[in-house]
Amino acid sequence: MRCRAARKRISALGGPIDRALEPALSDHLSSCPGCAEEYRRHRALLARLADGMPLPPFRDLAPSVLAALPVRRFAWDNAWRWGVAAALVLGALSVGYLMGGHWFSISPAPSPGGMAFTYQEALSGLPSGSVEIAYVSMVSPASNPGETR
Amino acid sequence: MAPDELADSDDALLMADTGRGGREAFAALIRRHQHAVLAIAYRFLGDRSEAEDVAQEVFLRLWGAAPRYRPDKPLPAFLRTLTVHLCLDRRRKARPLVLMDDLEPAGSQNPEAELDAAERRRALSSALSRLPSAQRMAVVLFHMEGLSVREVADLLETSPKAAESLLSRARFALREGLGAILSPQGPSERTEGFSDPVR
Repeated sequence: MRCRAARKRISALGGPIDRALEPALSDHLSSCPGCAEEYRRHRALLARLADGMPLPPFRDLAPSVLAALPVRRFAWDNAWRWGVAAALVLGALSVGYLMGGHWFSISPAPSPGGMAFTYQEALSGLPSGSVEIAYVSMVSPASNPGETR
Repeated sequence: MAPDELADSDDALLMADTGRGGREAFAALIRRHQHAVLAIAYRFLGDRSEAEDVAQEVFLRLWGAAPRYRPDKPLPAFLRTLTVHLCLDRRRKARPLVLMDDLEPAGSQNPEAELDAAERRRALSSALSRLPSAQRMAVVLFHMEGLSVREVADLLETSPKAAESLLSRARFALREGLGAILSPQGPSERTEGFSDPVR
């Protein structure tokens, strides 16, 4: 083995340094003081690296990381629920519109004589416990013949 | 979650809580893993405040990724990947490496030995700082963090053979760069490295 190849092999030694060297390298090291010295230096380097580099004291990162977080995070994994809810509401409104556009029309303000009965009267006829909002307007020329324009 | 529970919870539970916006769980995760992240960043970057910046960025990204986190990959490996990529990115974009000047010799009964040790550390740091980024990261991960060649290769997105080659070249360069620091006499009796001709 020549020195160049031997030094390449030495550099490749990175693990447990006391494992058996390959015979060709071992023979070369016993006959070449220069490569033997290189091998010794390599062992010293590995020992130095294994000691690592001492770390300085670091500050606790938690407070600064928490302070840098966005105030409110949108939960993208729940976004589909919002989408489904929005689609349901839109669907319900569309169906309502198609079934009776007058639901969305704004009725003219009732004349003083046009109100047939009050909300309380209208709601009093409903079964107890039901939740209903009734808006009753009886304003029409047919039902209010006495009205003058 | 109560503080005791947070300390005892495993990473997957804390990540699940973090994914739902749990700040206490997230703080517990930071405190549990910050040392490992900082160690890699500091040994690679050589500067304490830069290392802290990178580590902060790592944890901010972890917060962002928490809702999508799947526990099939252990959290330390996930954090290591983030740290390595952010360190290499930073080195790609930023100024040259600086030496590790934060390393103060610890108080000792033997100041001469401490000075020698400090000089050795500085020399090692200086030799490391002259290595190309990939070689330096390979040395930090393999020799200082104790990862296997395969793990180093995965983190550097290369083959194990290429990682071995990076390490080999780095060790050769370090041996050359450290000169007399590696001689038995130490730094005080310095000779300029290895001089006999290569056959």
